[in-house]
Amino acid sequence: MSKCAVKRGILTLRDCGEEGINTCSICARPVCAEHTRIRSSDTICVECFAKGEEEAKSAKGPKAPNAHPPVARNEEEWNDPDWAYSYRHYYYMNSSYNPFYPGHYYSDYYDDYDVRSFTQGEDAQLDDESAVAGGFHDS
Amino acid sequence: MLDTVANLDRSGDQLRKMAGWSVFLSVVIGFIAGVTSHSFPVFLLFVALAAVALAIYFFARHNDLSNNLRKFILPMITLMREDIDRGGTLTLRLNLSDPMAKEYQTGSETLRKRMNTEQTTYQLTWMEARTVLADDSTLELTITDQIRQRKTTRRNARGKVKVKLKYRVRHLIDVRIGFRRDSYALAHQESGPYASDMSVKEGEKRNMLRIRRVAQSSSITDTLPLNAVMETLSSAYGRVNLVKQEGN
Ligand SMILES: [Zn+2]
Ligand SMILES: [Zn+2]
Repeated sequence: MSKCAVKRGILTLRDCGEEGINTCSICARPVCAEHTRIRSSDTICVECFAKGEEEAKSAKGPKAPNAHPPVARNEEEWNDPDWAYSYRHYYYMNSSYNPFYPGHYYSDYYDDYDVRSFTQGEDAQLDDESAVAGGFHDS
Repeated sequence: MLDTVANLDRSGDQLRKMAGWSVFLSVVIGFIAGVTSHSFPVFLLFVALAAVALAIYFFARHNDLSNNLRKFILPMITLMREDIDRGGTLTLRLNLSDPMAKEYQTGSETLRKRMNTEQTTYQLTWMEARTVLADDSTLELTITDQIRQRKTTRRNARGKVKVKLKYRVRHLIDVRIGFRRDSYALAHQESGPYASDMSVKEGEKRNMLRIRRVAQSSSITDTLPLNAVMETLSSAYGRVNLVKQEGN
């Protein structure tokens, strides 16, 4: 099996680096022990888990992105091991930030986040058209 | 854990009466390896120990335990930890004192135009964090609160005195990031909402970006939103582009 596909970091994304020992039943990517979660007997990756949590939350409450900055949102849950991943998903979806990923193990899993990296659209400088994209993945 | 701190906060009332303690409270914690250790429980343990240490320091003081710890500092450390390599060091200097304690007062005057209004200002730097991020960028984050209190005294028709307090709180978020030149190039155009508050100093190995952002509030009980700080950090990363490495 290949390396764990989960990315660490918020400002910049980086590879987890551990061996993948499970396969996420949602995104089908390899995932290491540390990044494996069980949700109703399904084995999933922590990123899919956090995404699910966030989406469930925003489906419940009145969703008004940007209208109210996410102030007292879930800071109190910081001691939940998955909180940073939930916050990250939330932050990427609601702020204009595009995180960097300087590695080579990119997957379209992160397309929603408009990651800035080199792994797709090689040599962005070669022609003007892709230079406009400036190394962004298609959004 | 935090419940414990909160409980201690309540029982700290007696301790608060203790006198003669030094005026300045500052705690330096180097979470060497702890903050960035492999396992989350170990991280929690370190944070818990740090929080207890802070709480103990704090009870020697005459103030309430700052909400900043629970609502800002601990979540912020948890987020920063994600961007630090395992075994990395995060150095924190915290001051959880009441920013409106006498020692942080910066001025007091009666307003010239409104003689019944007294204005008092305070300033306290309550968090300084220093670390090297996983991408080898150096980061310094400093947060300072500036508080302006206006106390207006009025006498109503029946001669009863009424006092009204109004606050303006400015959270100054100062960020200094050193981006390695071999990893990041400066973007040509200044973009982003905070570009004007940004200064760039080009160095041999690193380009230093300095940003100040101010978050305002009219309440002394509001804590600084995490997003305000995350956005400030993000705006620094918005000013650079990845440099293509040899062999990529
Ligand atoms: Zn998954
Ligand atoms: Zn992993």
